[in-house]
Amino acid sequence: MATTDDEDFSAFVAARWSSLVRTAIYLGSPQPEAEDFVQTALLRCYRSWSRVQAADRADAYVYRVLVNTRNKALGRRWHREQSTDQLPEEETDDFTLAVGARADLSRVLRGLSPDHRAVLVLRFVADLTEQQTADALGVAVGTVKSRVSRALASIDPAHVREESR
Amino acid sequence: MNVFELQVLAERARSEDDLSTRPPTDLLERARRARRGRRRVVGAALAGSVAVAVIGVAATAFTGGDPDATPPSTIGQRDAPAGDPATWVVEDPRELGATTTSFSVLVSRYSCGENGPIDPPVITYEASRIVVRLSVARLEPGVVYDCVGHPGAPYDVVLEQPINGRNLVDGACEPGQPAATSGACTFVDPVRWSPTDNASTNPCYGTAALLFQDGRNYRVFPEGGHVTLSATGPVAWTTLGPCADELRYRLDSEDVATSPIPRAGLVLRPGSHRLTVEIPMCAGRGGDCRGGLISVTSHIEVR
Repeated sequence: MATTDDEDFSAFVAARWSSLVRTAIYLGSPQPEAEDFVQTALLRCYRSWSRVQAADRADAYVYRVLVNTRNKALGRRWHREQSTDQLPEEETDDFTLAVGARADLSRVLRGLSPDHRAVLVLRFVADLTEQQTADALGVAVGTVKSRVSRALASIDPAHVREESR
Repeated sequence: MNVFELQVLAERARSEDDLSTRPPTDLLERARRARRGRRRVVGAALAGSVAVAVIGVAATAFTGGDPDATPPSTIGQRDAPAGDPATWVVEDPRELGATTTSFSVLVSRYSCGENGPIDPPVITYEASRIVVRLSVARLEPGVVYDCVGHPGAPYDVVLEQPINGRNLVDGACEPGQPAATSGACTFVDPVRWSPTDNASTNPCYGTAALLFQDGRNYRVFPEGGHVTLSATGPVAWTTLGPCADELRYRLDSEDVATSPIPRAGLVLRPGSHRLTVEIPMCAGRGGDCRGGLISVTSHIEVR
């Protein structure tokens, strides 16, 4: 791979890392797991970085790989389940457990189905366009619109704090 | 809640954002190493396997395909593969769609002996199908090789044209080819992927996988849309994944209707079996089985 591509890749990582991790967190992963998923997705994208860059919607492409990476890993999750005498890490550092709008947003998303959650996170947290969200999820733009509509309709008002409304 | 309210909430969440995370400093170096190692044949991890078959149906039309790196193949430059025949299956059917131009496969040498290096594919583009013929490096003639089976070796196939409504067919299964009558082409559909596989948008309509491993007992374990037959030591039973409410099986040798696979796993007696596993793909446990049914039939020899 050319040095220029390496530089572009490094620049992309520097610019998008936080956003990608945040997206994975709001999709439902704890931060360490979210960082792992983002790393894995970026490593996969690097293999053909020139093609990723050449894509019309490179951002959507990377988010798509991230979503797929996470879904695939979670589908295999039980393989990794092992008994342990160690207590799990405490969740005090959970990014989404903070108070305020972050916590409100987390509560709202937590009650949704995976499909609905993904479409809202990509559209409103990752701030992708409808077209980018459609590309990232591998669905039609119309499907994005209908999922957003249904997701919003299915949000339990009790999950939204009064001050957030 | 409406769109505006959610936008406001997301914006406020962003303004509060104090997420502390940085990319690993060695990410680029690891990416380089991973790219270099991608095309190596991986055999050790699945030593002892007899065959790997992955059959799947998927939900998405991936607009970009999987961005795995594969040097452009010598498509159309040769009429026949240079090496020994090998069969393949799609690694993750969920990543295929009409516009896909590259995808990952698992390649298995047809004859006895180790997989070895994989040759560039010969790809034929037809109106209704794309035929991909893969081959592996020729083995030294006159040598008797162990028939321990071939774990699927990952390989990235690059197409010159998008799939665009066509079936992906394993060229090793074409009539007259050495592997055409083998289990890899008869028990497993030579059409490795079809656009109709993506007919559902149900995320639970995923892949079904059968992994046959050498050993006396074969156990069936479900995993959220996957089924694994494994003889690799004790594996604790866990609850069914969210996408498979119940697994059923049928053995031709017993000539009975399908039965639920017991929670303790399915143990086959020594002998030759033709095993069918059925996987209702549902929206969730007790949910609506809108995904339909995946049925996988394979031949298993238990010694």
